Amino acid sequence: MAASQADYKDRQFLAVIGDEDSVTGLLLAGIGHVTNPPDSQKNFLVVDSKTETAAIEAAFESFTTQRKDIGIVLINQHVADKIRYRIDTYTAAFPTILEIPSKEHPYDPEKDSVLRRVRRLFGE
Amino acid sequence: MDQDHIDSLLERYLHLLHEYTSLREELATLQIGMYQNIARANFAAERGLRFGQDYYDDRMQASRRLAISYQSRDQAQDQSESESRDKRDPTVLSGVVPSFTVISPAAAACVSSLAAKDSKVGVETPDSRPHPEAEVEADSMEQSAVETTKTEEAGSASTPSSRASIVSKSMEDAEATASENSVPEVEEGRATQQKSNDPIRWFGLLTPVPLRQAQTQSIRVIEHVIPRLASVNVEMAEVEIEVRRARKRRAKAAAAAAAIRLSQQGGREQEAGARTEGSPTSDICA
Repeated sequence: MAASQADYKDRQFLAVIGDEDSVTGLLLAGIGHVTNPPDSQKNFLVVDSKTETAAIEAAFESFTTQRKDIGIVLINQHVADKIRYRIDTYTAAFPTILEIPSKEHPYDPEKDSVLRRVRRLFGE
Repeated sequence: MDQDHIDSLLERYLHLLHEYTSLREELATLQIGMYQNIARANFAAERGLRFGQDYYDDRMQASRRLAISYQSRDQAQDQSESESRDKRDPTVLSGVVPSFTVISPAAAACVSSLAAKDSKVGVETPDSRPHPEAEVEADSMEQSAVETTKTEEAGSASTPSSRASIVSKSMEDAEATASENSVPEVEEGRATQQKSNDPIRWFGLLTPVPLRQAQTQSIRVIEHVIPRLASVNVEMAEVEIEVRRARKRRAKAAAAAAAIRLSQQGGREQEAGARTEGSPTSDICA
């Protein structure tokens, strides 16, 4: 906790992993950011039916562990399902992962990691 | 006492859960609206044109950024918290949870520059959407600024590359407004920079109304719903940990109580045995 408290001030971006419309919509709000040229890292990933799970996982890895400037990772729920094991084992304080609905896949409370945590707390 | 503490924690947890679910609903509604608007914009657009990743600007810079701060817990929960904190180990309660807010540094910078320079430029924040008419004018103003810088750089013969048709349409108007315009050029340049940060510009100058509506909804999602959801999520996780700790303590206390009871029982049996013998010392002990 102490380590994460130290670096939380640098975490000023929101990252998005999702389908094209989700990313377009959220980028319209002005959260898109590409870092300066040498590496030019984007803070978003557009996922379509052809995107491999490995690519999604790599982006997730990059946003959560490699980059230290991201505070919230937004991910479409159906995309999160593809890397569910990664999401469920993720415990770090920062960045926070939020699953959001997508156009074709409405929000499913059954899969929501927060509500599953709630059930675990009361169901034990 | 332990049970009371756990109950108060659970009560707070349920309040958070309620907030979480209502935020979820709001998010779902806003996003459905956003998707519909994007779909509408795509449907009305020219054939083959799609408002999507092909138009993203590769040099985009975030105009809305996150600010994470550690705040002590507020309001009602703070009271119960402080009460219980008096009673128990302060290390058990971390006391602070991170809270997320989204700010637009462009607006902040613009306010500070306003204060510093005391000029009239840059009052527009990305949030305050001007009226349609005003916006059209602003577009042409911006374009005029772009044009002037371009002509300065590359001479008067430069032709804008991609959006040539739209640009040429508004050029005359733009030049007209530019000649009328008395604002110093430096400040105008800054205004251009701020305006061009708006991601809706990736999709051209005359973007369809549904896309603007989608943007409004998306801004609401990013500014109000997402930061709150993230904060509530973190706070819930924190309370979960506290509940588990309290439960563990209760279990430990119960086990200890049971052990004491057992030993007392054993002692009483011994005492009873001693009393039957009628020794006076056992009475004193009891």
